[in-house]
Amino acid sequence: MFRLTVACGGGIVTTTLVTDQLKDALKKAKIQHRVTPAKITQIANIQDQDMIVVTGKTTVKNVNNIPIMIGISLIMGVGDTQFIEEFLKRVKEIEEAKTHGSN
Amino acid sequence: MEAIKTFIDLFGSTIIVPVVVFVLCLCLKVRVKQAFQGALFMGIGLAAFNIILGGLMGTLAPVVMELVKNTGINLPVIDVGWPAAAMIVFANKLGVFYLVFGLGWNLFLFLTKWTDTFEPTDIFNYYQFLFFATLVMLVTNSFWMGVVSCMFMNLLQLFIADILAPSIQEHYGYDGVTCTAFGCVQCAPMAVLLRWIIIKFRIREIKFDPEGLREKFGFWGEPVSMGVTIGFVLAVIAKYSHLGLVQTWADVLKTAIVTGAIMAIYPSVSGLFVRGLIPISQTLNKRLRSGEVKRKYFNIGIDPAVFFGEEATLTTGLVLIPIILAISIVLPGNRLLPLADLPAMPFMVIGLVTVLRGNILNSVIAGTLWYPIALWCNSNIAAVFTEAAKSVGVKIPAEGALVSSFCIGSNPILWVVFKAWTAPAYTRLLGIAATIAVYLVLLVLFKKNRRAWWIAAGASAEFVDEKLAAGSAQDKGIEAQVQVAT
Repeated sequence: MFRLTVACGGGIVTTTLVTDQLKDALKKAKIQHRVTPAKITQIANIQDQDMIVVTGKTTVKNVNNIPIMIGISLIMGVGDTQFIEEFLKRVKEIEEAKTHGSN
Repeated sequence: MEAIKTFIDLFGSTIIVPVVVFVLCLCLKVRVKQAFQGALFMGIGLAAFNIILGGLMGTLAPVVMELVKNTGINLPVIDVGWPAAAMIVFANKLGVFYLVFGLGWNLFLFLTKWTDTFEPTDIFNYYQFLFFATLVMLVTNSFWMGVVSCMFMNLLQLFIADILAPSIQEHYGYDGVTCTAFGCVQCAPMAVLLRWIIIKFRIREIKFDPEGLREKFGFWGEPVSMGVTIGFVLAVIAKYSHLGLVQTWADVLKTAIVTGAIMAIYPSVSGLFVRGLIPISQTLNKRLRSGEVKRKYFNIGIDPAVFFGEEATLTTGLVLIPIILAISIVLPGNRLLPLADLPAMPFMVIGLVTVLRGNILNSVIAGTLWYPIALWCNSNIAAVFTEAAKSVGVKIPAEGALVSSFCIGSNPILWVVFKAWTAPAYTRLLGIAATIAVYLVLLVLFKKNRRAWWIAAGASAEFVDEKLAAGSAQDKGIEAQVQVAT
């Protein structure tokens, strides 16, 4: 199960926009997932997640070292296919590391 | 017309709004499945919202009224937050109508080059000025006054978006976009004034370390813990005279949980609602970005959430939260208690941070000067907005308690328009004429000298000149193409 948090200013508009696109991509790649919406102000202290995608540029970092990706290209509609590719690549890496860790 | 009205009354907004949006989606060539799903969720969001808001108000409103009665802290206006304001606005007949009508109006303005900005890519944020247009409609008791005032307020929004576009693009580093959320940019005039003073008197600018500040003010960014704390403190103060009773403490804890719930629940409910509008924004955005549009000045409206996480914006917002909360309590004449919209404070400083080029101290000062004025305006309109909320079925169970949104109602620019367009008798005509005249004069001045306006709004001369050069090149390119074609 890939645990993803998607965050923006209010956790509503652009979060929903990005969540829909990432869910589609994860479904097509047949990766089990759960997506949680959040506000940017919350992401510094989030735990038990595999990745955070923020919809706009930010310098906020997570204290538990959860990787953060900036998904602005999904909002702009420019460079979105490249972003999805990169995203899925990292998702697979993380999932692989998890199964190795548990063995 | 009468038949349409009966139809609307019969089905109610939870059916009408999704149906209108679904049809609109189909007209804009959104995929049927996507459009249908979006519309369905929209209806669910609307239905859930009323129930939830009613439930939360049942606990919160009586406490707030006790606070007013027992302590003399006169803050009977409860801030229900921008997501609630959006729902109330779109559930109103003017809101649904303007989703369709406004799209056409914006298209017209863009194609005739009246404005440089195309807003329907951010169609959700229509509600920010629709909020005030709804008030005009209610006070004048005229649907068409609501529509016309809304068209005018939309013009103001686009005007500000045009002026701020270069500085937004430069500061936030996003190409070709601007901010079309009125609540985020209405504060810009204060920043322009402060910036002018700073340059005029050559005041040395002081820089803060944003990361350290952000950590110190981190608490104010955690919506749930902040909500619970504020609810707890409020209830204790409201019931201070009988804190010895067990019942009191039961009520205090219940209030704390409910204020926490307001912060936690709205994002998911409104998330459902927004689903219906997202396909529209997305489809229009794709089409605009595909390179079909070639013109000298061209900005795309984008949701302000992408500006929120920028260092200076986030930090300024977090620092201002406790300052504004304190001001709201001591400010004479203020009646609004900022609550659900406190975590949205970074949204409300985008106009300041943009114009003041990311200087946190200056932005905090500008915000501290501006928001008391904005709070007065908000206090003044709360009673009418409460009527708007009641008219779409929101129940407010305590006598004298009112609702508003701190983020959306605190808008001195639109407050002036609202007052002018609802003035009594013949002064109303005068007011309407005056606001339109001021707008037209400013618009002509702006179009005559974009460069100076853009620089006054915070963009650097180099960036503006580059943009102007690119614009002229684009123009020449179009001319060349036309020549080839002929």
